[in-house]
Amino acid sequence: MIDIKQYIESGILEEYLSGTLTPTERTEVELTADKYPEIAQELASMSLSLSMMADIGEVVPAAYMEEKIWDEILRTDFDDQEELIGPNKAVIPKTSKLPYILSVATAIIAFVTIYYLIIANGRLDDAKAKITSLESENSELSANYDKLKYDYDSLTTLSSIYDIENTKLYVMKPHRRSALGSVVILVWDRTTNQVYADIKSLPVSNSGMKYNLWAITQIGQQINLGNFEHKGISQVIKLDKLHNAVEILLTQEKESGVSYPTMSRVYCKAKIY
Amino acid sequence: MSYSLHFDNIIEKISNIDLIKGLKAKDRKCYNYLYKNYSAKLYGIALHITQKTDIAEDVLQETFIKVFKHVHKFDDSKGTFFTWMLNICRNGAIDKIRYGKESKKIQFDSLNVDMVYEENPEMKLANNELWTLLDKLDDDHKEVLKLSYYYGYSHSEIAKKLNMPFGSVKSKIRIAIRELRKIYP
Repeated sequence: MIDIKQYIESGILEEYLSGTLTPTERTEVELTADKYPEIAQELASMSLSLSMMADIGEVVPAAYMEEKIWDEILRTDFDDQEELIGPNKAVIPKTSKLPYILSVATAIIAFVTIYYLIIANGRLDDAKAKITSLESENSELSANYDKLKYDYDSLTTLSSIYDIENTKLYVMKPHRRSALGSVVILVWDRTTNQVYADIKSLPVSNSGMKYNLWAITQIGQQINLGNFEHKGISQVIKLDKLHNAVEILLTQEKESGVSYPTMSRVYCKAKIY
Repeated sequence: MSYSLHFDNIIEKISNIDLIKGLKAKDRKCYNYLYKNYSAKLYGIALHITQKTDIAEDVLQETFIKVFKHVHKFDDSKGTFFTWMLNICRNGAIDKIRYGKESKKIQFDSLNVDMVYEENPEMKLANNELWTLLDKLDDDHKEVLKLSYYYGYSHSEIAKKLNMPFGSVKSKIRIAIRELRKIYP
């Protein structure tokens, strides 16, 4: 509900009559006049006053116009429902369903496209999640495979070294409080003097440090049999050949290496006999 | 409501319903009536607004076609048949110069009324009568009404041309139309 007096006083009817409103605004005024008879009456009255100006400003058109216009009227299909509000809208007759169909089709296509984009986007996210999951699984499987392969290789090595006829086994005794749970087995092939260290359990190597195995001979020589890094996974280490050793020491030394075992860093040891 | 129809100097009375029926049926006599009585008034308005004979003729033709096409929409509670036609014509002319391809032909800033008179001498005569009519209004009101109603200037264009605040233009037009109603109620 509008304030009719305020609407009339606003000057919009004068703007309507002077033609300065946009086609849309013009239609709004016409709809308002349809709804409120007082506004329609005011508009009619003002329009009549202005039409006096048209009476005086008459200019007779060229004589040929009368027939020209009539011919055009005869040619025009008046079944069209063209709007009065402006020439721009009159270009496409509204009875043509093509623009409407195109608009609807465009809207449907846009809607379907957006719908499928959303679905596709959701699926893409799912796919990405699955790929991430698969990559993770793959990485895990790869790690497991590496571990299994390593274990297999270790077991193969172990089975091969433990099957040697002239083998002697020495279980190294933990010598350090932090290495009490250590299990290191030395496998000595007495035929070839080859030595293997089967590392079942041992504290992880300290940063910048490596384990070193030393052979102590009867005359007190300290021979380095090899070194390794231990990351907590059981492993078999092939060491240098062993000659005349009476004791084996396992120490942890700097990565750069040392000439002699550091006796304060002995983790395990075993008497050779 | 009834209308006086002039057919070859024969005056007939016809009801609104018959007029609408006749226009819907493309009745030549109804067309003749409309053309003889209103074409000069409509063309005069179209020519004042568009300033171009060819465009004004297009506007006149389109006005008649729209009148025939939309005669069923005419509502006599909103005004006379002529004011309805006049509004169609004025709106058509203004749409032509503002939104149509012809808009480029008309430069409001360079509008030279004297030159327009040279091209359309009948307009000068018409304008002389118009000024006599409008002389009863104040100068300011007369000027804004002329630019707005007869030349199709927008309110903002009038404000710019007359170096006047936009709000003043709106109020002057409003007052001018009301003054005109007092003179020609």
